[in-house]
Amino acid sequence: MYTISSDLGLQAPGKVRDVIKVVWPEHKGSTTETEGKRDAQLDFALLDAIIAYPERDATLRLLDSLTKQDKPLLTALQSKDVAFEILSTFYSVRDSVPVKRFLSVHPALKKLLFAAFPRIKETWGLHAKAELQVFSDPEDDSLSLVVYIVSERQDAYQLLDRFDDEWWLSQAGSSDGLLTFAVR
Amino acid sequence: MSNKIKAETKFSHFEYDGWFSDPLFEPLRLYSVLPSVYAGLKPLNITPADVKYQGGASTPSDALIIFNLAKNQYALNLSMAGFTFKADAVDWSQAPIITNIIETTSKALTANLKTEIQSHQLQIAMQLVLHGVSLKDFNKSFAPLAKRPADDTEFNGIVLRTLRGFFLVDKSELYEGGIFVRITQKFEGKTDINEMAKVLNDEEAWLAAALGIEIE
Repeated sequence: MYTISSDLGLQAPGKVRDVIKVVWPEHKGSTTETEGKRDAQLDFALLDAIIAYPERDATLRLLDSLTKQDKPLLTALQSKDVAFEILSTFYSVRDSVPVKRFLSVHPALKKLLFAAFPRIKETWGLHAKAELQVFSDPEDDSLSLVVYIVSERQDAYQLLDRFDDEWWLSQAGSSDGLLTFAVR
Repeated sequence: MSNKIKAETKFSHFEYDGWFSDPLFEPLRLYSVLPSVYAGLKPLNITPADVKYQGGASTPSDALIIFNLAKNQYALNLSMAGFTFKADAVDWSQAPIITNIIETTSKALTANLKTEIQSHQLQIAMQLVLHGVSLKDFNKSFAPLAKRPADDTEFNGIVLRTLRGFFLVDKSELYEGGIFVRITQKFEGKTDINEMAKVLNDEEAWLAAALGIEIE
């Protein structure tokens, strides 16, 4: 009888290393050369069947998923500024060129806008719309970004106070005064 | 002025996996919670056309329903074992909306299915192109070259396994002079998605500092 121990080498955390023991059937001897060859073929067939790789070895699957390199899908947005493209699926952007330019100069505002959107919907409801627009102050020519909330609710202006108290006032410091929210 | 190597992000991918304590094993239970999940995503302008039904599942972790969001850059897959959120072309500015989607979905599923998300995995993969340095020189800074008789080593990659996950740094298969980076972090039990995202962010910053690169 032959015994082969095969160590698959990869160790799952906290687990004993897997060992596959292959036990070949005892060779009973052949009466003819042809029978001997057939027995040997059967032995190998049995060996193949026994050491067939464990189909769902979690460690190996993990290693495979770890080393496989992620590639952009054909449908992936090719724009340099994907964050802006994604923002514009949530906000309406009236004049996209100045808004895009403004956000590229002040990229920290993007994070605030991503955080603000769910808050706007929570406050004014699902039917509220949010529009982005660059505002130019005629007094000093300074630029800022305004989020206009378009809502048909009667209490839309009061809700702005609630929005400020519950969220915006704790965040406004990180906007450097470059972002404001208004109801239209 | 920073003397760090500029690493331009050519592609980035984020993935979150949340697994139930036990799979549901019964697809109908999952279909029954779809209205709650859909309602949670409605503030993010989801429409019925963004919901896709997949064919039969051969394992509990096969996606049965896919929700697409943000011009298909975000995908939320529901399975009998849990849910997966995937996003392409991500940067950290999108973190608030992504964590909101994961949190909302998690709440809708656990409240309606009377189960818990027992384990979580967060992952970032990036294709980065290094500027002003060859891969060989970059390699020297953190890993001694393994000597090969034929001197044919292209890149000494890194695989770090930590208590909580993995770090992988390899030569990019897509971009000349580029590297491929994957950071995986695992969490067990009831953990806040914002806390997990912060850990992932910190680990990315640690890896960038260790490699001497500035990810742009």
